[in-house]
Amino acid sequence: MTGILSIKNLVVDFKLRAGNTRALNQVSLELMNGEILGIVGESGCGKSMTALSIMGLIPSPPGKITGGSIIFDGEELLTASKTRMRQIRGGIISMIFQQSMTSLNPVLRIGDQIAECVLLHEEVTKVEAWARAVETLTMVGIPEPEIRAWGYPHELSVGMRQRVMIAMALSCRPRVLIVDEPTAALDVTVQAQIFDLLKDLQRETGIAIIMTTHDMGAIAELADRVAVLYAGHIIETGSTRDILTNPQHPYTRGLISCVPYLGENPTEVRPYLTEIKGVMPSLTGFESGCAFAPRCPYKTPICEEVRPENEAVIGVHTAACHNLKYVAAV
Amino acid sequence: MAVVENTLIVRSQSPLREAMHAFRQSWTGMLGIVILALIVIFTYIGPILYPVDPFDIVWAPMTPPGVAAVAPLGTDYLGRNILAGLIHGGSATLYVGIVAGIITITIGVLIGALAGFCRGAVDEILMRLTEFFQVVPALLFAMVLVALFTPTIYVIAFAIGFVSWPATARMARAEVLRIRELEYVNAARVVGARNRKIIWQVILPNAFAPLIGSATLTIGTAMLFEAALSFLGLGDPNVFSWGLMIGEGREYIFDSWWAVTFSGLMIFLAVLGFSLVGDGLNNAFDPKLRER
Repeated sequence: MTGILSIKNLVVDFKLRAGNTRALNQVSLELMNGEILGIVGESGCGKSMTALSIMGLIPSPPGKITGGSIIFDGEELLTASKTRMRQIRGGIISMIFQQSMTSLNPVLRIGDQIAECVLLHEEVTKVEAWARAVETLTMVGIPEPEIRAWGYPHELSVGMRQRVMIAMALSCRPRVLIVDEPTAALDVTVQAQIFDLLKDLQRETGIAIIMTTHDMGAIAELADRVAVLYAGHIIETGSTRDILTNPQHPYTRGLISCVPYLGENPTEVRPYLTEIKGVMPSLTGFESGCAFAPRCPYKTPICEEVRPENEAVIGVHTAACHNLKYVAAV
Repeated sequence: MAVVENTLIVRSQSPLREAMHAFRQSWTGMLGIVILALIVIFTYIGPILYPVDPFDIVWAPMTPPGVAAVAPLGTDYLGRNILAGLIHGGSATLYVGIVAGIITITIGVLIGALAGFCRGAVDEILMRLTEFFQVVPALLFAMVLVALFTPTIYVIAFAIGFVSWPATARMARAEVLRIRELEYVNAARVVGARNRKIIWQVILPNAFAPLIGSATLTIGTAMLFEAALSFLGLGDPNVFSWGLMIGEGREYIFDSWWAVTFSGLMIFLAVLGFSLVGDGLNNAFDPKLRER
């Protein structure tokens, strides 16, 4: 497996009246060809910011990428020209937003919206673009795609709209797909369908997918590899199995002990769930030290002074904690 | 097979033609079209069938309707034929209403959309400019403009359009500000659409409903505005208009109600016609309101 997208030491700052807010702090990620990378974390930890920085869509002002690099296939995206970025968006890297309810333009036909996207990126006639739209709709499992393409978004159910969104993102055959909370507003049956669809599409097209979520279930279902994000820091990465069965960082452990049942062993239903005490710290006036230290039950004096680096645990599994051995022993 | 046949019918239609089809289905829009058509026939065919100069004094002043055969709808305070006035005064009023309406909408939507979309310094500058226009009383401003130039019907139409765009601009800006934060604008950006495309194809079509409403209202107010200017003696003295009739008849409203009533009724009908058409267009262009 070779890397396709690599984020190195990405820093995103927001200049607000309250002060400088560091939304992402030294985030490094590596996306391999044809894998599904899950980014997990609670609200406001920087999941969407990571996704938006890859697309070059950080709301600016007030946001600004102040450091690091995002390299796609040897090409630096942070310094790419506007024209080049427009080609990349949709054409090479595509994104699906959380709200499928509001992500489609209500006054345009579904087929037109998808065809529009094809016309933006490829030298094709309108008829060809329309044919491609119907083809993509078929691919994402919309029944009667020729007829549906003539419909408007409000005529579709939420799950179908999510499928249309996926079709729109895939219409120009991108190489990377970013899925921002794919199942946030969907009910469980539809969630399962969308997961299956994404998995099938990934298998068929070999596209690399980055999925952000707060749902450990979604991670267990879909992701090959997981990065845990906390307050703008990557605190643990590893294969899905590593993270779910052998979490190292106290925060990841906390996250996993919040989930009632992970599907590995049906008898292992937890009667009592633990919680992570406290709330995520304000990102304004970032200090030195570990971001999780104020909430960490294993905190030692060094945690408040030195920011821990990501250290290898076993194989691809890394975690950023000073007291890994101590935490693992407890 | 019925479904497939149905799609073939739909396929043959462009979005515009589909909207027009929906428009023909809505009874409000069609009623508006009928009213406007009648008014247009009345004002453009009428003068041919009834070639009487509205400035001519034909009978005793303030004759009530139905008394003199030469002036079936009565005469005004100078003894001028009211029916001739209604027939000959329509084109000027409609002209002012439509031209001023188009100017208002064009300037208003351009400035509002630009301010709302660009935000930042552009927004600040354009909005301060809009506020400058808003704090000056519109009627007074229009009077100054008309007084500066010769009071022809063209200058009046231009002046009315030029002073009434700020409200439209503010509304267009508010709509654009609301829509630009919606997910589908981001979604359009994510597939690589450029700003121009986003403004024209994503934001403005979705702001269509309130804008068309405001456009039809603007045409109505422009007609009333023209009446106010005529009343103040700043109308085009060589052109007879419904506004002029109301303006001049107002002083004698208790002695000759017919002088203001009929021309007022015509303006009312014209404004109603435009509003109904606007309502019909609004429904026709919104896929959710469109009857299937």
